[in-house]
Amino acid sequence: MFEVLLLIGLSAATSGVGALGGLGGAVILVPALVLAGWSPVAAAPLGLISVAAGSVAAGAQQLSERSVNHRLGVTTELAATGGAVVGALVADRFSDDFLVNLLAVVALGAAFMGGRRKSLRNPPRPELGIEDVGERVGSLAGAYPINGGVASYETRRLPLGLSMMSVAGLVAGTTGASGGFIKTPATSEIMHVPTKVAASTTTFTIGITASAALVVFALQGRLDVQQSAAVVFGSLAGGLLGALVQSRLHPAHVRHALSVVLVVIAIVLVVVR
Amino acid sequence: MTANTVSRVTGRRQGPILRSTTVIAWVLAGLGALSEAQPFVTAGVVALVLVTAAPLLRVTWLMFRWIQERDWRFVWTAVALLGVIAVAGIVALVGR
Repeated sequence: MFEVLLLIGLSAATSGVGALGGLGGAVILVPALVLAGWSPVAAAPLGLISVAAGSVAAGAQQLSERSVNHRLGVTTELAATGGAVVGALVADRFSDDFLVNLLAVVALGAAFMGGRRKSLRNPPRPELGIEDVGERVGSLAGAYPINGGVASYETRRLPLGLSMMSVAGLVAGTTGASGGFIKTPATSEIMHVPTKVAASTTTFTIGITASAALVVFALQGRLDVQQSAAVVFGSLAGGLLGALVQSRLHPAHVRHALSVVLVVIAIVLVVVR
Repeated sequence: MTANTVSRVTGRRQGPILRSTTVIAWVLAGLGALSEAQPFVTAGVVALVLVTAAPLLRVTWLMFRWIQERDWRFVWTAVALLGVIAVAGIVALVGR
């Protein structure tokens, strides 16, 4: 029972903190589980369950904001899911040492990306109205509401963006850490999609990546029902709470604090094990 | 429809369904975490299935909405995505 309570507490805390900073909770949960004694191979499915639960919990709110570009999400997800499936299929062939080192690199990458992310790219355009909000049929363009106006955007450099999505999927499938810390900056900085749309679309897509890898893990018999249920319970509660608190804090400050936490986790992972 | 047409796919119908799914999965997961007795395990499995299936059902729902909009490029992208996931499941099943 202690193990279950620990899982509920860890997944609630990491999902809440992850939702605050927009990094996703699994990138903190999986290293934390490894530090608490789980093997990386056992921690990976629990991390992905946390990702899928967080994606479901955030979905309704993001749909009401109309900030998700589903066409962009499904397109980029095709590349990411391929990477995730390959990662999930080969993850148990890697040694624990390799996976711990990979997790440490992933945590450092998340710290770097979270710390440097920009907040606004496209300003509102006065000629656009609320009726223009949404994605465009037949393209990856769209418009979204911001600062009382509406800003439009077009997706650029798709091939490079898709390459980064494959890498994000591979990391997610191998380590169980959400690839969101790669996807959101890649969508925003490489493909020139506004940060808010990039973050919402990433939250939608990391749920698909996690589901695809979880299907593989379930068929491989790698899911412990009681532990998984504890993570779902904690992640849904933490994700909702984090989303509620998020609006009251300055996102940049939270992301910088998270970056420090992730650097500490990476160092502890490599030094303590 | 042209590339400048705003899609009618807003997700308004998905929102309440996702909210309900979140609440149901949360309650069932709480039960599933309580005990390893069979009814609790069943509740935990249903919670897991809900959380895992929800993103895939969203893609399937989008595929049908894009068919209504005759946006074939993205219909086929969604079909390919669901196909990759199905193939992965088959590969995992065969490789057990």
